[in-house]
Amino acid sequence: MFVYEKKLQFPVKISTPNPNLAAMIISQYGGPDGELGASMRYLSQRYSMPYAEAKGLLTDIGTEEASWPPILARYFSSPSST
Amino acid sequence: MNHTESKENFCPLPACPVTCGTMPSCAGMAVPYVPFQQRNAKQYQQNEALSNGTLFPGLNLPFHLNVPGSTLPDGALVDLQALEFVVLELGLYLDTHPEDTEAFTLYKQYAAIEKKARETYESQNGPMMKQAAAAEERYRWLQEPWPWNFQ
Repeated sequence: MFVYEKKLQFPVKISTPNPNLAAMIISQYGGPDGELGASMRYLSQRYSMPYAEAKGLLTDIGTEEASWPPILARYFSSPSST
Repeated sequence: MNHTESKENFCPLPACPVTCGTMPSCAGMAVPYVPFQQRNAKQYQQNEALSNGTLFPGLNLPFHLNVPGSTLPDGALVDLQALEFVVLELGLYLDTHPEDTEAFTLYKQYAAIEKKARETYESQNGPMMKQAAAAEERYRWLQEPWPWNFQ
């Protein structure tokens, strides 16, 4: 059902690593208010959605939301050698 | 009730005698409305769309802060990301406006441009999807950079 793309949806450029900011951003990753939860909620809600437009919208938004955790992860993953 | 109170506290409804407090019992109910997105809505150019997080200026609602769009770095990848963002946004719009033929035509045009741009990018930088990896002479999928390697 899902296909992986080897790129981010939005460009992230870290000029100055900031551990404090990273610690705040990581709370947007998982947890009750995180993007993972938001994505899964949209993708679960669509099963009981009676309207075609909203089925499509929940599917597309849930899929798009799933591409946000990798963007967030860019802020707190260790810098690469490249 | 004292009708000579200061103007600030005066209830705008003439029949309402309550002049103090935040919510007089005779106050009219709030009437919220959600305007539907109309056809032929004004659109941003693709890089501007990506930096503002929406294709439509009418949906660019930065709450009470006047926040300018992000500054995007230059490069082929960002140009591709901007094109993909427009395709994504038009796709979401079409979910709720499936009969808008003009938007569908635009969707097809952008999808074709994006496909071409993606093929060009992949031929220079390696596959972005496993399917594209299958079309190459050797297996380049494991080659860096991974998405978290971009500086």
